[in-house]
Amino acid sequence: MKKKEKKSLNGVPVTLDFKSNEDFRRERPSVDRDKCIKCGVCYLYCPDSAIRSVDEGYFEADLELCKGCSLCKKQCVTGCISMLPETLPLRHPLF
Amino acid sequence: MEKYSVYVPKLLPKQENFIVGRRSCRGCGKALAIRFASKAMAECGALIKTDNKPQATGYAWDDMEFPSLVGSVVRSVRKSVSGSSYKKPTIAIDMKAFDGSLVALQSMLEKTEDILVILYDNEKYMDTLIMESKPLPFGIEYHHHAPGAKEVRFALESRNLFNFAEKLSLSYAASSSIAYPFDLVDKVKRGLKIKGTAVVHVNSPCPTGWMFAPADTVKLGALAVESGFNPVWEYKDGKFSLNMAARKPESVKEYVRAQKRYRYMSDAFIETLNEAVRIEFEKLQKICGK
Repeated sequence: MKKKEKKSLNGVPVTLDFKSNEDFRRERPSVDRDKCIKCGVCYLYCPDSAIRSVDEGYFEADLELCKGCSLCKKQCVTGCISMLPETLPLRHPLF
Repeated sequence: MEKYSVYVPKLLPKQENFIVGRRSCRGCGKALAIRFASKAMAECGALIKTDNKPQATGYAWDDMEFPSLVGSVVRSVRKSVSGSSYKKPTIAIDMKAFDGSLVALQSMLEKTEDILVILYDNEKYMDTLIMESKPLPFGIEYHHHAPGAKEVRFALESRNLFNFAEKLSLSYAASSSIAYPFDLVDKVKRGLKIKGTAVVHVNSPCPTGWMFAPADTVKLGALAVESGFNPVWEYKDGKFSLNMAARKPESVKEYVRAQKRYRYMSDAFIETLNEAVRIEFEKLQKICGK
């Protein structure tokens, strides 16, 4: 969890209650950079806007936002995205 | 390969006006629809979302009931936001607007405000625990009898906006899907430019409510368009135009079988549904003059 931020977007002051989405995720996308053609289809269809362009024009998921829905894997043109299993973070037994 | 590295997704604005870190479900179609709309608006619109839950948009927003929103909020938003550049107030709402035989929508349209309404249609009320919404989805279970061909056709008729787009005083109306994002972006941009009331209907599948794997959101949106279940059309300057043909009219069965909420449907019922979809699509083709 990050601290509360105060920002202004389009001149309208808003508070961003930033929460991490890690507890949703059971799989994590990983990109095979040899196959990737940098088309940006995964960036287009990500419902959580987690995928962003990183160095050299490649696209990678921000793991704080990614929920692991594997929509990017389904839409990928070349099939360069694969989902890796991930263990859930430990929780208190009551919750 | 480097020579041809201009891909269309890169042409969209990179600024995220729909704030990241939201708590929507995995593979949410509604979030996708709002994200594309906010990308289309960039900085020429002000979005208001009407739900009971706190929202995450970079625009000015307020929680209000739909009818009361028209009188007060739209004008105040226009006063507060308008500067040198003109901005059009935009409301994103689910099919709540269709409730009570279109009373809410009609009362708004009578005033002929200069706004854009985005209807994201996932056939559910999201603020009251995924309850079935009006217009009735065709698969509803009647208490006394199984729905026949007549009821299915009535449910589809009340669901399609093109049946009454002409009666409402709209300057622009369109139907779109999240499976074709650039079509949606174009339509939202066109709705913002035209003066008067504009309505854009967006079909957005809901993995939790419709019961399918979250990865299939875009696939189901595309299936709905290809089967003719959710036709993509446009109403502009008093004329209808069909944007996409139904390439696979038999794939209604595939569309229904992909969703677990329709698991009780028999093959015979799907055939009557297919027939009803075909009749509705032919009606639209006739209106469009094709």
